[in-house]
Order: sequence, then C-alpha cells, then structure tokens
Amino acid sequence: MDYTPRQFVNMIHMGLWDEIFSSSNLWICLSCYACTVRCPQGANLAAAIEGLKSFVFGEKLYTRPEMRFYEVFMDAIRKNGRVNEISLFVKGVKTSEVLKMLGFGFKLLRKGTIKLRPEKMRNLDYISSIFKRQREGG
Amino acid sequence: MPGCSASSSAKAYDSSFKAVSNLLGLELVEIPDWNCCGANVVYSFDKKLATFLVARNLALAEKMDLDLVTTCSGCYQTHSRAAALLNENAEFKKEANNILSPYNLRYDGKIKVKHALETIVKDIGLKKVSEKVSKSLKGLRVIPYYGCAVVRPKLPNSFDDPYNPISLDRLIEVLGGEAVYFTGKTRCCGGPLLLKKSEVAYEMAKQLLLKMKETGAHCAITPCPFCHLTLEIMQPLIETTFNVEIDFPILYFTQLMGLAFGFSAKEMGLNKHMVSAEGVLAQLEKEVAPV
Repeated sequence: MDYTPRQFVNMIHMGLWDEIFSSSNLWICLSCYACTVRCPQGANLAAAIEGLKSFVFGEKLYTRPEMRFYEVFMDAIRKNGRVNEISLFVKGVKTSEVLKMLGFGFKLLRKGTIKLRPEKMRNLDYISSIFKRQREGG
Repeated sequence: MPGCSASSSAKAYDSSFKAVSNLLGLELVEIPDWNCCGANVVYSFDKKLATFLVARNLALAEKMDLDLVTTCSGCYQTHSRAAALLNENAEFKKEANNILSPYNLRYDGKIKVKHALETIVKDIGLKKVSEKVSKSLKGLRVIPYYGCAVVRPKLPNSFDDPYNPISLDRLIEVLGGEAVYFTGKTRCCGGPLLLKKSEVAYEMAKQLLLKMKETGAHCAITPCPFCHLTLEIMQPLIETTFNVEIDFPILYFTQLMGLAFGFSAKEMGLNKHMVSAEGVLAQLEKEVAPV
C-alpha cells in the first residue's frame, strides 16, 4: 500500500488525482471496511475506493495486472451465471503459477474438497440483459 | 440461497448447515436457479450492475414469500447492500423492477436478507440450540473468527457489532465450549488478494493463523466460506511458502454445532479438510470418557 488510509483520504480532499489513480491503494484494498468502521471522522474510505475503481473501469483509464481478476470473475458470471474457484484460479493467474499448484490441486480434487467443473444456471438471458445495459451506459 | 462456493470448496458448510437446521426445525428451500451475487468484485466495477445482478435473487425469494438466508458472508454482504440500496431509493427500485418484469419478477422489499449465523442465533435462538446439545464441548477452547463481510459494512439489517461482534462467542458458550478471546476476530483473512497479490494474501493469512495458534485454542470457527478457503484449504500452501508449521484447524461454525449435536466428524465433512481436526475430536472424547 503506497499511502496510509489517512493520507489517502487527505489526497482525495486535495484532489491529487494522478497520485491517487496511480497508487497501489486502489488495487490492494481488501474491501474489509475496517478503516470505515474505525474512522473517528466517519469517512467511508472503503466506499470511496470502490467508487474510484469503478471510475477507472468505466473510463478505461488504464489497465494493471490486478485488474485481470475482475475481468475473469465477470466473464465467469456472464458465461455461467455462477463462479467456480478452480476456473477463476486457472484463468486469473499466470500459467507458471498454475503449473506450480498442480500437485496441490490434484490433492484437493482427490479429497473432494473442491470441484473442477463450474455450475451453470439456466436463465442466463437476464444476466446478459443487465450486462448489455451496463455496456450501453444504462 | 447456497451461493457458488457451496457446491465446491464449501460443500461441508452447506451440508452441515442443512443438517443442524433440520435438527432445529428450520426448513430451508433453495431458490430455484439463483445466480452468483458478484461478490464485491462487481460492486467495484459498476454499482448498478451489481445491484441488478443481486436484485434477481431478491425478487426470486420474494416470489417465494420467504426470507433469504445464506451461509456465505460474501452473498450476505452483497444482498444486504443491494436490498438497502433498493429500499432507500424508489427511483432505483423502479428501474430494477423494469428490468425484472419481463422475467415475471418484482422486488418490493418485503423480505429480509439474513446470514445463517443470524438465523441460528437470533431466529431459532440460543435456548433452542442449547436444548439440542447431546455432546457438550466442555474443555474445548474455540476462537470465534468472524472475518469481515458478515459484520461490515454496517447496514440496516446488520445483526452484530461491526467491530466487536459476539454472536459466535455466545454460540460457542451455549455448546459448552470456551470462547477464546482473540483480538483479530474481525480482521480480514487476506482472501480477496489471493488472485490479485497472492504474496500479500499469504502473509496476512499466515500472521492471522500464527496469532490464532498462539492463543492455545484447539480450533477456530468461521461463518465465511472464503475465510475457510484462505485459512484452511490454503493452509498447507502457506506452510510450505513460509516453511512454518501451523497445523491449526478451522471449522465452519455449523460443523462445530453438528459435533455438539452428536453428528460424527464424517457426517460434518471434516474428512474433507486439509488440516486434520483430530486434536479437536480427541479433546471431545476426553471429556465424555468416564473418569
């Protein structure tokens, strides 16, 4: 994290947008809302970060490696309406990482801890319609 | 509403919740053809899209005239947020209903969004839970680990304190166990970074697990499938990455309830765990054996 939560809130107040958008803060935030609950001033930093992220996506400001996870996750929803840990992992990280984890993955599958195939829902029509609406700026 | 993880990594959570609910007289009806809630991933991408995604599940539940209960803290958070957004904003609700109406669905805000933990502790109540205990957890020291999404952010339907929740603590006590004081009980497990910055996620999980172990507790329980994934399923990988021995069992709170209700470890899916819960089971045997 490039800046502490307090610094980050101050930066928003001061409008230091270049520094804000290029910092790792946006992409390392866990959205755990610990800062929001603790802040004596009642600043909802977690919500602000969420909004800033949507702005980056919406305006296509730039791409960063951390953003790949979001694409993979949403592709899964678009395609199946549901997500599966293994597919997210396989598509979300570098192939070298996947290969390193193969042994561990097999162990999980053998034990029946996780499932390989993603489930698919039936009414994907609804999902497509809301994604389409979003693309068209609705 | 089981959520995506219930069919894969959190299968044991789903089945143990069903088993204890059944025993407590709670009837669960699965929402037909529910969809993924989008987690906070879709909220970060587009808040409106995230709300409309969840609105379908809310409308499906409303059609069944039943409150929506989920075991997943992620689903709980997204559904609670969407419900709050729709309930607060009539315009927004109207827009959602326009999108829902071609599918014969409608959301008016008549139903409530609840977490499985809330249903058990508040709706069924601890008194009824205590009546079903057939194998007291006496002598078992358990960390109540909440994680973040079940208590935060603070929303109109929140059922516990966002900073110092107590529902799991009370549940452990009612089952006869000892709720171990743990300062990190609502600290994030690091899971959200697993696929974004895994080295940070591993470090967070390692620190949390070692702190848990330091307390001398037998195990920790969680109401979140994602915390379980990070802290339990990934634990062997964390151990090899940092070359440390952790070996600390993390159970779903429903599995611990099941054990106290007399179900076997296998019935509660403990055989599917990566970290052996032998220590927990041995402690339980110790207490029931006649002295």
